[in-house]
This record gives sequence, C-alpha cells and structure tokens, in this order.
Amino acid sequence: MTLPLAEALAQCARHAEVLRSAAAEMPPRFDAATVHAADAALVRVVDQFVLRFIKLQDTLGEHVLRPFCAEVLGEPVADLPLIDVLNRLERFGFLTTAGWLRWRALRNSLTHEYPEHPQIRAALLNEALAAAAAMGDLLQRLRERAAAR
Amino acid sequence: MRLSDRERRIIREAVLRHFGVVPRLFGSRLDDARRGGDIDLVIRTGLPPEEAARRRLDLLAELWLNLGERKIDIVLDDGTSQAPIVERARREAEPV
Repeated sequence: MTLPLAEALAQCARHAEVLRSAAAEMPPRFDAATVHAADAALVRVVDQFVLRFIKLQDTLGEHVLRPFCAEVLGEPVADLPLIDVLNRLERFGFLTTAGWLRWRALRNSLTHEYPEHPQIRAALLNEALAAAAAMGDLLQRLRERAAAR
Repeated sequence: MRLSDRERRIIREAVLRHFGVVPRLFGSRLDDARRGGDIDLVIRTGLPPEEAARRRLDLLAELWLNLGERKIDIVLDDGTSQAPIVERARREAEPV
C-alpha cells in the first residue's frame, strides 16, 4: 500500500522526532564498556532509537523517495528501480546514492545485537547516531521542498 | 557456482579493495541445481572487529550500488570464531 506523500512525510516527521529525543538520552559516543555496562534504561532507549531508525529509513524508502521524485521534482520515475530514484535525488543534491545504501546496510546491521562483540555494537551505534542526524536533515529538506510547491 | 562472471568480478574487486582478500562463497549459490537465493560470502579478516564492521557497511553499499539491492549476507571470519555459521562457511566455501 502506498501512502499519500503528505501523510508519509508526516509519519517520517514523527519517527524523526522520537529518534531525536532517544538520541538525546543516549551517550554522544559509545564504546565497548558503555555497551557492556548498559542498564535497563539505556537498553530501552537504544531499542527505541533502533526501532525508529529502521522505521524512518523504511518509510522514506518505501513511501517518500519515489513519490517525492515524481510529484515534487516532476521526474518520470514511477516504473524505475529504486536505484534510479536515488540517482535522480543525488543529481538534485538531496542525498548520495552510496550514502543512502550505506544507511540501508546499517539499518540491517542494527537488528543484530552482537552480544559477544560489544565493540561492534558500539561502532554501529556510533555510525547510527551520525546517520540518524543526517537522515533528519534529509527529511527536513524534503519537507521544505514539498511545502514550497 | 551460480554467479555470473560480471557478478564475480564486482564482488572480488570490491572485497579486495575493502578487506584485501579474495572473498569465498558458501550456501545455496554453490549448488548449480538451485535457482536464485541469497549471496552468502565469508571474508577472513584480522582487522579489529569495529573496523571490520564499518568496512562491511561500505562493502555492502558498494555491492548494492553495482549489483542492485539484493540479499547479500557477509560473514566475517576472524579465524577464532566457533559460531556455527562461521564453521559452516569455512567448511563449504569456495573462492569467488
């Protein structure tokens, strides 16, 4: 099911807001010790962060990027693979295709907790903190451009 | 091995660039009688785990960029892991 663009953007904004507030409650940087010693409250807030990171990326990827490209930028992308949509958005300066795909790889990796390797979990959470801020910026630019139509 | 020459070249070159080793393939794509399926790769690396995890993201993004987004599982083998998936990969895998 495809959501109308305005509704999908509003959904993304809610995910981004919870993501931001979860990030604000997390340490600015993780290391193996932070992950290993996480108390129940930190585990909960990290879970919330990861869930909203996934939802924000999925909603952008499934319900926003293509209709934004078609309806707002007027590009004929309705039947093209996502990679072509990403390339158009790169040409318009909204994102880089390689960067988006890396967020995608990160999204998939965050579903694993790596209990044997807290340093991997820490590295991925640090990557995700930076990516979450960048995804929030992307969403902001998409919303501004959509509103300026 | 059910990978085209182009797929093999792209995978080999990308893994060499990011990890400095030739990747090995395991799982269903070794079975010529089957169709489709995930691409399961195992990469031997002595990098610190956090650095290997970051390079894994770079590698996946590059593979998706060049092969299209599809299911690619990358198992990192530090040489000591006894995880069942790593042991299976070591047993079966063939160089890409």
